[in-house]
Amino acid sequence: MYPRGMAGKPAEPPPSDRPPGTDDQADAHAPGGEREPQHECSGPVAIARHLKGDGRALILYTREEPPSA
Amino acid sequence: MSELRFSELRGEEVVYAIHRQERTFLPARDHCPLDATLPGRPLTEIPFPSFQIAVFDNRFPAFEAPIGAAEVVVYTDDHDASFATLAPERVEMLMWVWRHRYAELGARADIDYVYIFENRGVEVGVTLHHPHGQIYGYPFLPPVPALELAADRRLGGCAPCALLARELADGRRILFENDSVVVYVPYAARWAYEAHVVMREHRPSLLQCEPDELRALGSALQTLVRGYDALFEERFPYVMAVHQAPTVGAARGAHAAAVAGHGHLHVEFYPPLRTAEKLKYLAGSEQGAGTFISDTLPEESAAELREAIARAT
Repeated sequence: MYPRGMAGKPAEPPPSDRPPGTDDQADAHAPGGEREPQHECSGPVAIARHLKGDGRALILYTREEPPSA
Repeated sequence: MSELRFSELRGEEVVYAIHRQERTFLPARDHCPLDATLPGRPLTEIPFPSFQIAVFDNRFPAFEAPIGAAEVVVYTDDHDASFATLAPERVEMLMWVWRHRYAELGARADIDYVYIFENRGVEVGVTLHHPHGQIYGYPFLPPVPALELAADRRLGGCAPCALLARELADGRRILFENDSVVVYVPYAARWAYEAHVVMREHRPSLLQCEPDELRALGSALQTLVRGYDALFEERFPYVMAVHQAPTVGAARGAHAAAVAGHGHLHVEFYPPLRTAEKLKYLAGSEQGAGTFISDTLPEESAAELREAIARAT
């Protein structure tokens, strides 16, 4: 509960004017999660969105990395 | 959900998140909620057998939609790693993750300020040792960013730009620099080993950084943390605070005129140690009068940190 009218500021959906490289679509799939993940990128990083069982958001970020020594 | 109360005497918001009293506190090594979920083991916050970087809504949030946000950023699935031991590629990747979260949370009308931070060490209240940071989306402009806006007005332009120029001209407190980033102990540091990592060019936020600058920022942050760890040859506790421009909520709201055009990406570190064994406590002067009393001169701390960074690299 937020007094003083704080509840009057609604959340907005994700922005449509994200910075360059954040809204490129990709085709990868990941296991788990409760809904079909949506795939985007932030620069060289692939983004996979999921919802946890209790409804909280989970985002997995993945990038091709060199193998560990 | 939390309750927000405004303290008239202090002129600041206080957040009551009483549900956080129940949050996980220093769990046993094999019950870490930030580990990956391995076959046959209990479900963790990340229901995948491996991952690189994961971000999720905090289970015990100080803020939550539709009025603010509280997210956890898990740097790796390696429980025993730390920011200092991550591969350089992972640190660079983290900069892109921060950038993405700043863009997405900052575009929300209910969020005035996106604050990325890491608490490291039980000395600063860490409750989970797995390497991670947090992001708060404040539904108001918090006092410290507001003070930075006031500094802009006092100095007649971008305060971090002006202070960076002063530090470069003086030179005694510079720890190291690269093409994009300068790292120094500030002239009026509150903490014995406080350091600021400042973008050399005027970049209001991660969104205005070029890819090379993001890489340089990540590298500088890691170099500093490795230096911290070398200082007393133990994992060094700190609060790492990423300061950027206020976001859409502030730009649309009561602060619109004050925030327009302001902000300069920099990262401040507040380590609580003043020696290898002694903590700096916020006591009478700091809490009751708001004035820090330091036992250490910033120039002397900078010299110690330069030596530690040299040992670590």
